[in-house]
Amino acid sequence: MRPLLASLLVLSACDGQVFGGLIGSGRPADPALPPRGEVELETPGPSSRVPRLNHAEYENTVTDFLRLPAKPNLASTFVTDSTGSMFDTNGGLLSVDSTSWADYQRAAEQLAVTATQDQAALARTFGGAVPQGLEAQVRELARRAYRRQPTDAEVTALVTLGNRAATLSPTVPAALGGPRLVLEALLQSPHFLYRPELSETVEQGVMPLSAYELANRLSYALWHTMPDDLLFAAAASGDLSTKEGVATQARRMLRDPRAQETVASFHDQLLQLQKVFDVTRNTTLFPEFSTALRQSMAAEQRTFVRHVIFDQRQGLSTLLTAPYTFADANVARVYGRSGVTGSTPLRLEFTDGRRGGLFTQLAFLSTNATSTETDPIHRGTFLNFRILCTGLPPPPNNVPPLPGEDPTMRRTMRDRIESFTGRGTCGEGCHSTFINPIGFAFEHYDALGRWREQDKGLPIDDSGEFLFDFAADTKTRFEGGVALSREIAASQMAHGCYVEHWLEYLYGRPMAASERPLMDRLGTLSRLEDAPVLRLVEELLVSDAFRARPVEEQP
Amino acid sequence: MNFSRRLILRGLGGVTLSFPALTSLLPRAAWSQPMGRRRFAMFVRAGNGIVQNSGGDPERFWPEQTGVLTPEGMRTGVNGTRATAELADYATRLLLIKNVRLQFARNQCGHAEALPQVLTAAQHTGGTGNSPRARGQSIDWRIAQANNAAGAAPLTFMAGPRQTFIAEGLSWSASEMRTPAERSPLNAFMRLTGLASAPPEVQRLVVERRKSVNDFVRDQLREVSGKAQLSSADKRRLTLHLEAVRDTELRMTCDLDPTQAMQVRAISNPESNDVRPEVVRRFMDVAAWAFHCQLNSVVTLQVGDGNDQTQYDINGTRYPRFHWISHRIYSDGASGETIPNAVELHHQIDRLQLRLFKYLLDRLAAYPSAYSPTLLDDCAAVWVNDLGNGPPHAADNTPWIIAGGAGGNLRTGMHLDHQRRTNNLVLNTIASAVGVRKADGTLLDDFGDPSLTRGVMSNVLTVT
Repeated sequence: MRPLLASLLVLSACDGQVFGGLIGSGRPADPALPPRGEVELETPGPSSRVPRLNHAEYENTVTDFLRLPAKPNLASTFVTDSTGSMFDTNGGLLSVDSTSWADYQRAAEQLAVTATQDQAALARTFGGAVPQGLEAQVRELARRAYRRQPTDAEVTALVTLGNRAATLSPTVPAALGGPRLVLEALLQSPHFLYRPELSETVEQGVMPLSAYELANRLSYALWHTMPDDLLFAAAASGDLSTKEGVATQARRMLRDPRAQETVASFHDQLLQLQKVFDVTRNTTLFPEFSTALRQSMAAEQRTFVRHVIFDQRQGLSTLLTAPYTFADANVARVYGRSGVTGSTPLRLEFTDGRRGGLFTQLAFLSTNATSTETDPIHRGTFLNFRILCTGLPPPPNNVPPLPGEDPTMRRTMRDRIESFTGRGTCGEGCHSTFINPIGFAFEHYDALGRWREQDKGLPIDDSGEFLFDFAADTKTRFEGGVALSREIAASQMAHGCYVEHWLEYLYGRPMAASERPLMDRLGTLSRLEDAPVLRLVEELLVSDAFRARPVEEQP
Repeated sequence: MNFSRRLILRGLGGVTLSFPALTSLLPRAAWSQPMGRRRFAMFVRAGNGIVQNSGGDPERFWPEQTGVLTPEGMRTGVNGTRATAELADYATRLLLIKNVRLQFARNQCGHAEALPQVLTAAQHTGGTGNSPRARGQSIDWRIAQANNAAGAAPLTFMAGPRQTFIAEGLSWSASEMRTPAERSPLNAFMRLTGLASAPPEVQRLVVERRKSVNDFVRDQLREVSGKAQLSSADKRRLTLHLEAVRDTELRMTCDLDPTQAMQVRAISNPESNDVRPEVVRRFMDVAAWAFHCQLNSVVTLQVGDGNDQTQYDINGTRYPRFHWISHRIYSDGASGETIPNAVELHHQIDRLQLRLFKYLLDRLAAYPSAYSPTLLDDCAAVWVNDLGNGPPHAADNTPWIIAGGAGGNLRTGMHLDHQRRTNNLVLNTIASAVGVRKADGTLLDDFGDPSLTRGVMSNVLTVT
């Protein structure tokens, strides 16, 4: 079988002018970005006024709204939400067409029946005693469905509808028919399916959100569901009108198990953990591989992330460098460690200096490899894009393949890649400067993530240098994945990039130019003070950018 | 006779979730076209390019000569070795069009850029993965607005996974508004029919109840969308929602063949690699049935993810991932071990894709038409690959195949060279053939990006 390398990544944009001199996040220069220091306010970026609930949020919200004992699992039958951003929280990209509307209609009718099956079900829906009279019932149901106080006109419209139940559902008992019809309507209301933010008052150059709009933002950012009673109470009492009031609620909500799910989901999406379930290896070449290993690799990363962020209350630097992991028997076998049994991930110390942090764990290493060989280009590209935000343009697609590898030549993967993309080649711009040095650092980890001393029987060179601070003009040298991870952890680029991703995830939209100072501040906080991830999240939630809308709308 | 729906329901444990609103209870005038002859369009998209005389590959797809097509000519001699031989039975009802250009490549990610262009002929936002968004509406939506009931969206299907590098991207309701695709034929079928049959009196009440709720929702949507401070993007999304509410008031009771209904029900894991061709066939069953019952006039079906990663089983052999085969190496990237005989494997997948398309033609041809020999003759059934070839993944020689005469509006039985002109001309032609007209009543000739040369393929249209 003749190995083949094709040329790639001949990028005119990779001429050293990509970065525009911004420190903090390595995003490419954006003409809309003002120079550092010119913007001092944490002014909010534009966002949709009617973000739609995504399917996970819908499922959580109907469960909480109707106080169901378990998730109804209806959203799994809905037409899939479209994608288009790194995270699934951008409700401004989600719409309702006739296909998804049929899904919502069907689900609303089923849920309304479930919630009003009999008097016991109705009592559960109200969380205890059923209010007397349809109007009182409507007020309570609408408050929870709209996640704010309904107006009198809204209540009147719903009562009018509910009173038609005797005609439209003559076989349903009167005490159940009215609430059932009202619930059908509430579950299809735009005030339920979207999170309208219609505040218009301008104060100090921004539009502060109303207390209930802010409660919704908080709840969907941290729990992916509607506010609980305490958050509703805080909104009603005015406690959310101050930064400290918001911080109090944010801290409380971060202690809730639902916040752990949210933090896990962020890292799953950022690190593309889903890809681990597609990993396949030939068991002759990789006897440690089994389909069960996929789940084990996912569990390793998830357990590690949860431990660092919630148990240790530490920050990004620890995620990138911690000299331990959590391995079950399957993962420990790949690491060549004996004594670990069972399917529960247990803490495993790395004392030989060969591993430390997320990127020497199996999920990253195995998902950025081919079925037989390491893939330094994808390993390097992944870290450039997602961890350092270097803003590399994507590769071209019309570059013809280069001649195949001479089977009589014995070359390391590094040598093969450098011959086509290294210095002096047409791929020098992006590869030699940005992608290859990062990717080569992991050459001691094979296609499954096992440690190896040689490649094709030849010694491995995992050294490299990279410009972590574009204002410095001095490249940093490193050898190996652990050293590289340490350098990344020490760089402002990585910390700026990480908080920028958090902003996009929590705010449900990309960062705006006006939020650059906020990112710089939080990136520095993360890097210099090793701020816990939970503190960064809290800082983002209490910022002016989260608690208000811009005066100018998006197009 | 609602045997099929009952069959489906038994499979679901008899759970009754909702009722169809009978067409007999609703105003037929809701259809945009006057009652009478209807025309339909279906777009089946494959990915990763084909094996044709391009990018260093030999010609393995097209007949040797352009010109008139005959069944015998397509299946004998060298033409019998070409992938299009799979469609020889329909030679006289085909238009084979090679060398169609997608204009807006940025030399970034071929798959990600081609997908949003293929049915929009629009520019895109650029990037890789799911980032590129079309800057224009796709032709299925334009056809739906002209031919469907008011507010009825086109049907958007995908045989492929939802968690993937490049997911659906064929259908766009408006600029940068991607249409989510249904992955389950069963869900698609149930959504089209409602889930149960019921006595007419009960159905009347259901219709009334839904109408009352819809009225309530419509009022709220109008109020929210009327807020002056909403962005134009938000208003577009809410308008789409409003139109969707109108559409749901139309359902019919036309039923699917019981055997097909059982097959639709049998797929429990529609996103799985192993059932992909089966899912394609079942979506084709649902689409043909939806046309026959006049539930919708336009369907898109995306086969595989953007860079189709399916491992196809052909003649008892499990192939490597199609995307790898299209790169000729065991990798999604540029380096990896060579896949032996990759060109031949790619050709065999091309043949499989066209056998699947032939299945659609068989299904359409099996339904009668009041105006044509069969339903197929009322359709423009389109097969397209959004890339031209394997390793270079070029976008200037994409293959298009149109089957059916669109109710006599298309000349068929021809193999044409489009000579690298752009896809908007093909889209204008298809849309015009199925009845779409500009506001002044003339043929649609300006679909897609304004920078593209306007026009239709007048040599294949019989209408002016």
